[in-house]
Amino acid sequence: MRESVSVRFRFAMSAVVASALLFLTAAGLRPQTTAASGGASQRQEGLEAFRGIASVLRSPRCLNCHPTGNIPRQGDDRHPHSNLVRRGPDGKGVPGQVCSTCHQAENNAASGVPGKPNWHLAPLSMGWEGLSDAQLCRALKDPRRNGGRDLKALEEHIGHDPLVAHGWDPGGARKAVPISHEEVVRLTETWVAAGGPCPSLAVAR
Amino acid sequence: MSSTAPGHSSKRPTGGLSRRLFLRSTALAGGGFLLGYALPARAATLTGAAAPLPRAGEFALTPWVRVTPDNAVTIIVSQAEIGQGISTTLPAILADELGADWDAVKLETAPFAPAYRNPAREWMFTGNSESVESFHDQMRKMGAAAREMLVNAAAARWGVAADSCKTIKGSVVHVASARRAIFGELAADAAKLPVPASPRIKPDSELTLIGRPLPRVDIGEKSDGTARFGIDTRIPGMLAAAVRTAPTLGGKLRSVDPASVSGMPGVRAVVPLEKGAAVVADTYWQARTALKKLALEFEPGTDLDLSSASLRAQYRHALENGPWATPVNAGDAATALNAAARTVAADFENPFLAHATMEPMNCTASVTSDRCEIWAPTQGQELAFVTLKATLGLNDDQVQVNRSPYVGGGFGRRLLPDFVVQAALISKAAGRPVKVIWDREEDIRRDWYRPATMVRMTAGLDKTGRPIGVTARVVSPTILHPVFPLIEKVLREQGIDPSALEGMMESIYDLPNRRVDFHLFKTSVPTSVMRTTGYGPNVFAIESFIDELAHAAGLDPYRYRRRLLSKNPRVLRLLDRAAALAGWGKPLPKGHGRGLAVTEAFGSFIAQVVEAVVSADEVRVLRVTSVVDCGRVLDPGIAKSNIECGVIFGLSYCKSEITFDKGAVVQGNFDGYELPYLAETPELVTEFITSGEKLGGIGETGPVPVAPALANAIFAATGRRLRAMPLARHGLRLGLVRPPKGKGYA
Amino acid sequence: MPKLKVNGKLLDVDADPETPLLWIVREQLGLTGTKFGCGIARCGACTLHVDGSPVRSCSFPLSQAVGREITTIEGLSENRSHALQQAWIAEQVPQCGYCQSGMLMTAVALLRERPRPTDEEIDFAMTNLCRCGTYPRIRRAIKRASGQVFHA
Repeated sequence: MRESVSVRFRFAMSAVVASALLFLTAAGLRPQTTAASGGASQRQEGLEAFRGIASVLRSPRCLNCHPTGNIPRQGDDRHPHSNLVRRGPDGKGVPGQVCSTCHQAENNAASGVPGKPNWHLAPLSMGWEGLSDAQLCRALKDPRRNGGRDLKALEEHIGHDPLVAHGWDPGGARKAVPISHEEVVRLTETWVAAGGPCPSLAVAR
Repeated sequence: MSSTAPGHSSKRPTGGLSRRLFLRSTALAGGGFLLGYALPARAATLTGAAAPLPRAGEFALTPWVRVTPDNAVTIIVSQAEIGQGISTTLPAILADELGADWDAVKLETAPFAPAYRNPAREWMFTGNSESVESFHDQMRKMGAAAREMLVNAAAARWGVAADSCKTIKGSVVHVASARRAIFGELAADAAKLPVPASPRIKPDSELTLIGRPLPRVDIGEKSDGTARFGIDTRIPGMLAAAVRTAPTLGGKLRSVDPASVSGMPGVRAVVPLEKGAAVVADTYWQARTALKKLALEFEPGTDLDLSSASLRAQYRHALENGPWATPVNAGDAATALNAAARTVAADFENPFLAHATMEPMNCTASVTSDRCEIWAPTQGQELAFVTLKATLGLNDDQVQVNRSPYVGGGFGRRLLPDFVVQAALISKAAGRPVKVIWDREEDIRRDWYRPATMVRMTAGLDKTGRPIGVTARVVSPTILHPVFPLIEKVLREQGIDPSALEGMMESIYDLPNRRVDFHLFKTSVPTSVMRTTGYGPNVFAIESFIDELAHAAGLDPYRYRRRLLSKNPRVLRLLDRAAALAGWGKPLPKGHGRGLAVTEAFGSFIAQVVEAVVSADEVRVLRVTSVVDCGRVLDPGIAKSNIECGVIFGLSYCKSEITFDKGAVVQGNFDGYELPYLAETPELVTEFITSGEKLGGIGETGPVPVAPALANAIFAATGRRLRAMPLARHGLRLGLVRPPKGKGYA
Repeated sequence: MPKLKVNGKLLDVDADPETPLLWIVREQLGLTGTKFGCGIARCGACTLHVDGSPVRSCSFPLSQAVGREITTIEGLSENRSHALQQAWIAEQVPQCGYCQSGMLMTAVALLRERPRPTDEEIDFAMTNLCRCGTYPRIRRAIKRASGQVFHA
């Protein structure tokens, strides 16, 4: 009787695994192993590339406007934004003090206030403060959190979005993103080509 | 100070909807609005600068009143309107005594002239919270004199006795026959009469303006952008200038290369100054743009090792070693301390603070070889006048000092003539009228700071915990010398600065054995008068220390003070009212605390209770209750606004400080020197007690008790004693009074 | 020469396109109601409206103002008739008054979006600095103008 139980158990488990795989695929989170024929080494390159991307996402230029709460940060030391600035109803500030009250389409040399077109906070779903590389990777790829973007759209966003470009043209004495934009674009291509692999969640980063 | 009547609003031309909303909300409004009875519909109107002499067709009845035949009555305003409402109160006192129609009165700003000197000081300036106290009697007298001249002219014309006539709303009336003549008809004749030396002053019961809250004369213009501040001055042919001076204290100009900006748009001149350089251009922005490109080098300052740490060490050295002057030595404090059951000692520190007036320093000057005229938001017209004369080598009749109608914050900074003289030198060099504007960095770094002080308090307590002897050691730089050069003799011969001893010379408490030692600290940091002058720093030490004594005695701080005020019923009454109003003794949630401070300041008395809640690093100031006895309140609205705005100003003294590094000021703008936000502002409850005693000042009184009352509240809440401000020194910061809860805010 | 639309009028402006709008309105246009306080967008004294939205004009270059609708304090109303100005007068809000143009322009923008603002909304909209501390009267005036009772 034990053997039939174990067979049924194994059958049940494989059904669970299969449905889990189906679920993951539907969610777009299934590790994509089929696209890259390079297999393990390309995956490894992708993971390395992601480490570089993660360091960019964590730099103050990006993280300051990707808070996990309602208060953006400012400066290389990431202090809370002056003037009691808050996210507001749609990430563009509050009635009476919107982002465009101070931030314009370009960096302003006269006042030192940085600027790029459509200055606003990334939505809460794109809050990255305190995330590990593994969590960051998953957040970045999750279309429910990243504005419905697939990997190609992510590439486009990182490569061409004007607000993202601010990271490399921050104005004043602000430190630009430590890796050049061209390099980040290259890293993103590498990562996307490898299927956008994410570091294992089990590893504490 | 609450009321519900709409008062004057019904005469205002508002849109229909907004008027209904206005009336409905006033009917519902509780403690907000000030009026309780019918008031003048409008206030007098500020119309501009007074010409030094009456214009053609204007007749002067004393230097303060000018009347034209069509009954335009102009009252001259001598005191700088820095926000304290003095341009309403003093003219209203005069107008009330005169019997003018306040609604129709025009106000003009006085240039410097000896007639407008502060009669108590024989010097023309606005400061020290004493304009009302110093000018009150003179305004009554000048109003009465002008009234009598008009009445005498009418009486002569009608062939009646002068005392059968009175003035009512701009007319002289012969009561018995109801004959009347407007002031304008009588002005020419009246102006020929001698100014009465001792005119009859009306009994207060006949006054109709003073004692009530008047609509302030400046509010309308300040609500529609038409109020003109110094920075808004426009003179025909005027150029603009931007200035940069050496960043280090004592630094000077080494070299400047005008060629580095020649050809830049609008640039007209580069003017070297002793400590820096100015670029003069068609517009301020052009001047500033060029200034940033100007090749400019400075000689390093005299004290490059100066830092906040080095200063603190020097202060500490003085605190330990003196030498000392001893301006107070009542009874025998030393013996009392020796006989004490227990002694308590504590050292207190006050930081350097910047004025940071919202309108930065600026001055417009038009200087030629034989004439100098300036327009500036100045509090110190006479000091500017004498300094300009001396610097430019001109005579009295070659210099004219005009105060701009409005001053965007004074706090004492505008008593100094430095920014005026600088503008005059720039204009002279440029050969054109020039408006010089300091940017915020220049304004903060070229300030004359409220000086840092250290105070050591020591007390001997008897068995009941009562202090039987108290000593204070005060280490402070001069406050007065830069604005009152004549004080140099006192500094040198007596080794004291009277202003830096305010609050220490007398005590409200029954302390028969009391000694105060003073060390006049020498430093290259420029220091001078700033709102609260010596009272602020000294009362921080005294009222924090009294709390420490109460704690040592195991007594409630309010009860402890009551014991010491048994011989001072005036202040005891004040203290009791503040405690009752603040609900002293009512239980508070954990983390909350109430702190108390009571003091004399500027001739008035104030008791204040601060209620705050302290969490790990945040202090939320929930409520500040103030009760003030200034003798008598001349204008309840203005008095209340001065005290309440003063409380928030006092809170700013707990938020930021000026620090030094490598011989230079560290802060440069509001990013480094932060001011409180509306969201950090506590609820304010303010009351006045009319004691009928001598008039005291209220312009600087509100801020004085805030720092010690807050420190005492923090102690009550946490057991943590702060002996210095600002809060950041203790890892604390001001928090939002109302923690946000809404979506997108929390 | 570019034209700027300011308070409903089309005006010629001859200046470097990088010039902050603050100095354009003050110097080229002679509208001195908008004030200079800090130059780094910290104090709000320079607040005016661009297409109805509040802007700190020390941080807004002339080049970006072309083609937009600029409103300064002078253009807010005739005769101080705006409900907020009436409330400012009724509550006797200003002390020195230097910050008040910017305060009013910010308050106008707040009321446009939130006709009956809560204390929280007032807290986070009104971040303009007032050195004199008129904040409690500002709050009362906003509540009055929006038809709300002020609870002390």
